Amino acid sequence: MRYKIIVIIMAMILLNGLNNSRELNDLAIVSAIGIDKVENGNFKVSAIVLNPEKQDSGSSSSSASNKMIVYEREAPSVQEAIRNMILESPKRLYLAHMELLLVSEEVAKKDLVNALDFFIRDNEGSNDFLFVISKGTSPSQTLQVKTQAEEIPTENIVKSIKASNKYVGITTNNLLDDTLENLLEEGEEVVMPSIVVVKSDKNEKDESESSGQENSGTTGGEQEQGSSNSSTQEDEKILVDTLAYFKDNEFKGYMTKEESMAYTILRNKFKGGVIQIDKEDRLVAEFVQCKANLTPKYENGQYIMDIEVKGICNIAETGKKLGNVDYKSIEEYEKLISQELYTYIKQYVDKCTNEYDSDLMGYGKIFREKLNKEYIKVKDVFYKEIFKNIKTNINVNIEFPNDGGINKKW
Amino acid sequence: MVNTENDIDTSKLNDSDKIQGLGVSSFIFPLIYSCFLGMASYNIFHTAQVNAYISVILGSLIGIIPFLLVMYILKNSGGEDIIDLNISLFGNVVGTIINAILNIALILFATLILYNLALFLDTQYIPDTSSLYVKILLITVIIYAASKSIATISRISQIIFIINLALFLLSCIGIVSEFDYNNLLPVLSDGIKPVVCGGIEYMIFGVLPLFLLTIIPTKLVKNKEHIMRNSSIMYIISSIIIFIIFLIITGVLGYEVISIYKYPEYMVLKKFSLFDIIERIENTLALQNVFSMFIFLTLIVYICSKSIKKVFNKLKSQELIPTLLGILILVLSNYIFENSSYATEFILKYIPYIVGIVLGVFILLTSITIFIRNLINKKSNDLLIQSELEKES
Repeated sequence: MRYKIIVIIMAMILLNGLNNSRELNDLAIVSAIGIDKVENGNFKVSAIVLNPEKQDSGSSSSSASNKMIVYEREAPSVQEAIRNMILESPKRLYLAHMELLLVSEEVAKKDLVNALDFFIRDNEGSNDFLFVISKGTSPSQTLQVKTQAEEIPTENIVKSIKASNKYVGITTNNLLDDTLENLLEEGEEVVMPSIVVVKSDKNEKDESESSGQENSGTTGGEQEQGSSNSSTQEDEKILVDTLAYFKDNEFKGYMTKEESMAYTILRNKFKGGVIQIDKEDRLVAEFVQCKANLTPKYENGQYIMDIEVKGICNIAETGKKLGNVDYKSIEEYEKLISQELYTYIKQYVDKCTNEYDSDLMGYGKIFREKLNKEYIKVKDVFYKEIFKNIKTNINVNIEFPNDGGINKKW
Repeated sequence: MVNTENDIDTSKLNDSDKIQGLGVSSFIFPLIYSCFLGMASYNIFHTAQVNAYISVILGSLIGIIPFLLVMYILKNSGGEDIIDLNISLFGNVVGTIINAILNIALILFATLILYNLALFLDTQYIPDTSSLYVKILLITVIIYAASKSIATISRISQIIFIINLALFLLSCIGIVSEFDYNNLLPVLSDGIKPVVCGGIEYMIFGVLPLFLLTIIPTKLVKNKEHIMRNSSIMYIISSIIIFIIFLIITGVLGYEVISIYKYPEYMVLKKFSLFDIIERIENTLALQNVFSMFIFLTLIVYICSKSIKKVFNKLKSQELIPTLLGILILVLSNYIFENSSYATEFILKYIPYIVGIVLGVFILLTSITIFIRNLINKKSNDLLIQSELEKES
């Protein structure tokens, strides 16, 4: 019995998380990291650290902005910059709960792989964070924008991107592994969601001022978000923008809204969205389901891609001239929406092959996977000679399975 | 003199001293799976690339041959374990030499496994903790388990098999939503050769370690007539589980991401999400690998200590030899490789050949000798019967 007790006591002492045990109080939990490039070629890394003590205070008067701290450091490497934050943070930065990695356009253009290297190697950090590009502004500025909907900007950005993917269909939830796959895979190009900081209009600014939130000053080396000396941030808000596209792992530009929707549909990442026709009268259809099937073919020396898109929609809104939905009109509506979506996809494919010159449809990957014998023959010249000449057959079939149960009498 | 299990009169044994139920077959999954983390899977993915899951099917089929040979040895061992069997087959001197060679090979194998396990824990689990500290804790448990009887180890194995199965099923449920069948394509794009090579690697790392089953004296097994049936079922189940593991790793991560990680089976567990509530439990789920390695190491220490006890049969202490062996493996694992890059290179280039040749030779040598002995016995029996018949006539 004495032996067993000694073993239990020894186990309690020895196995208590070994040297890796960490108290929650000793962790600076990072929710987002922003990476920018500065003029001397160094990385400028910003980290949003949650401030649990302020969150636990329970005081309703405590400003939401006090619940986070933004640290910034410049260094030749991401690792060094993050480590150097310890110089101003009393705790070691803990990346396991990171939700967002925001990179500037500059980093996306020149140093995406180098910026990612640290996060791939870091065994403690999570690899299920969103990977987003900050359009027009530096990540450091973006991460300090005060948001109204969520107390922490990270949550606001992450939730907005996820909601945009689910309800608008113009963005994707790209995690680290998805981006890595696109970076490494032959016949794929990287596509990333983007966010943009815009000026709020006057009314919104007034509302935010009248909400009476208190701001605290900057202390020491740390900048608390929403501090009194950053009044410009109160005039700004963060919006989810269209997708950023890359070529050969270098950022090239942004797609339009329609192209972004076509991208998510063709990559089967489309979860929901709305399509609107304003030709003769207004018809708004809301997608319930949309699936694309891309089948490569090789016939008579010609590389062909058959794109079959099937979707189910509900009628969300109709204009004045459009009458009640009946079995005759519903077919017409289906054709209209199908035609509209066809145009989106057609323009997107043409633009990718001719203007962007980037395989955003993943044609190379599809040919490699599904028509490997033919692909291997032209593997080396696929993007030089074949890609632009691939014949694309698009067939869009949208259905309205129900009339919505409304008899229109207006 | 210390009584070994072979010296015991089995008729006097209690049920608790015997290997019961799935005792023998429960060793099969841990033995097959023990070499996968950082070794077999790394090699197979490196060789067969995106078609690694096909290699598993092929390897399981090729592996039927060594599996049947192991079963043949078990069936014809006359109730003895491999240590006694070698002595009875090859005589005292040659048998002892063969046992010594087997011990050296197994100790080196155990060293490699312990090094690999410590490396995994060091890089993924607890990087701030000294790997020596982890090894000491692990080896202490192994020494304790190895100093017990094979019946006790088989009970540990049964419990671990059930835990592993539960962790495997839970992992599958939590990861399957991330599966993309397009990641499994293209099929056989580089021809059949890499897939066959991957299959052979699977057979070497997965099936050949089943040779360790021969340490079980079949006379201690309750319902030994069911060993073949139960083991075959368990072999099929284990092959299916490993096929599913490879399928899910490839389907979820895709070959490009797999190729950058040394432990893809661990990285895939990072994607685990059960109803968006339970997440980030990869360390708990990856325990299935650690448990399998634990059983493997325990069996090796048990075999070696039993073999040494056979030579130094005046030793009374049950724990002394396993303790010395454990310390030896611990010390060797600290010096076997200069660094992990060298270990990775060595595992990729030389280990398949070394393991394949050593274990393959032992399986073949033992089974062929048994076959010849049986043939001679049969002939002498036939002659005896014939002479008796002649006498009667």
